[in-house]
Amino acid sequence: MTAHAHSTMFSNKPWMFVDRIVALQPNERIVTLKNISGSDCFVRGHFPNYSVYPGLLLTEGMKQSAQLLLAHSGWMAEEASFRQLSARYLCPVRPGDQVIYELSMQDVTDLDGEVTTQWAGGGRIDEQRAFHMKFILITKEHRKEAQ
Amino acid sequence: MGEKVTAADMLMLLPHQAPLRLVDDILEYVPGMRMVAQFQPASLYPYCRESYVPEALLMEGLAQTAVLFTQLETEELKEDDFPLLGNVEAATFCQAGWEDTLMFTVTPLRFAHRRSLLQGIAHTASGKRLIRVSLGLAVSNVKEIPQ
Repeated sequence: MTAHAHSTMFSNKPWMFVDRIVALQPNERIVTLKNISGSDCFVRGHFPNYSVYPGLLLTEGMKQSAQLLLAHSGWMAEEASFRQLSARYLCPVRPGDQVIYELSMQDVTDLDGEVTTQWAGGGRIDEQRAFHMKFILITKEHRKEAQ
Repeated sequence: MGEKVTAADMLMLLPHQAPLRLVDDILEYVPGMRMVAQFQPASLYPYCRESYVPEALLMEGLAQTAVLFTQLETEELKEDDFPLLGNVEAATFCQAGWEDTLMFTVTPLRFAHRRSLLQGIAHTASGKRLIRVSLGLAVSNVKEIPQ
């Protein structure tokens, strides 16, 4: 599976940190990609003498990838927030890089409409691991009714 | 730096520029103890348009406060230096609205050569606790990165 992500994302431009869905297995894992450009507005001031993609926007990209997997697995995912996060950044991500996000859903709990999901994954540039993280995401909607 | 350094002097040490410049003012700096910074997130709403301030922005604001605090405690960034986020551990408590005034408080855990470990908490001016983090920062230099 490969598809442009923007039509199914819940965020608004320019707060969109996934360009394409590369692979997806509902309720299990998703692989997405983001092309980093020097014309990205968030790179403009980060920094004046050198361009580094902000690490916390990579974190947001992982969260948006998780939302995509939730949505493609039949869960409502519009309102998602981190409850816990553990992340390690291994190398700078720079304009010209293509970040591959790989993310697995570890667990899901639906309690009175508050859905808690646990995730683990990371990002790479070519074959180099750029970061890895685990996080817990909260969404506050019930599972969609079967279509 | 001497004792007469002003908040404006301190803010000049922050390399981050708009739109991802998340410190408006320094409210308190106690050498060796803590720094408290303030930020009004409303200016970022057009870039994001989420219903609340994303946690990634709260973490970035704490990281930028930590960059300022670290420079005052150790040494200023040199020409072609830039700060890098090494790791983050975060736990969230509640969400911030775009009209909230955000307060970032950071305290030191450890300073080493071009590396630092700090903890921080973001809350609103009314005292609502938003997120708690520990942050690992490093300083890199343009000349150290393969081009």
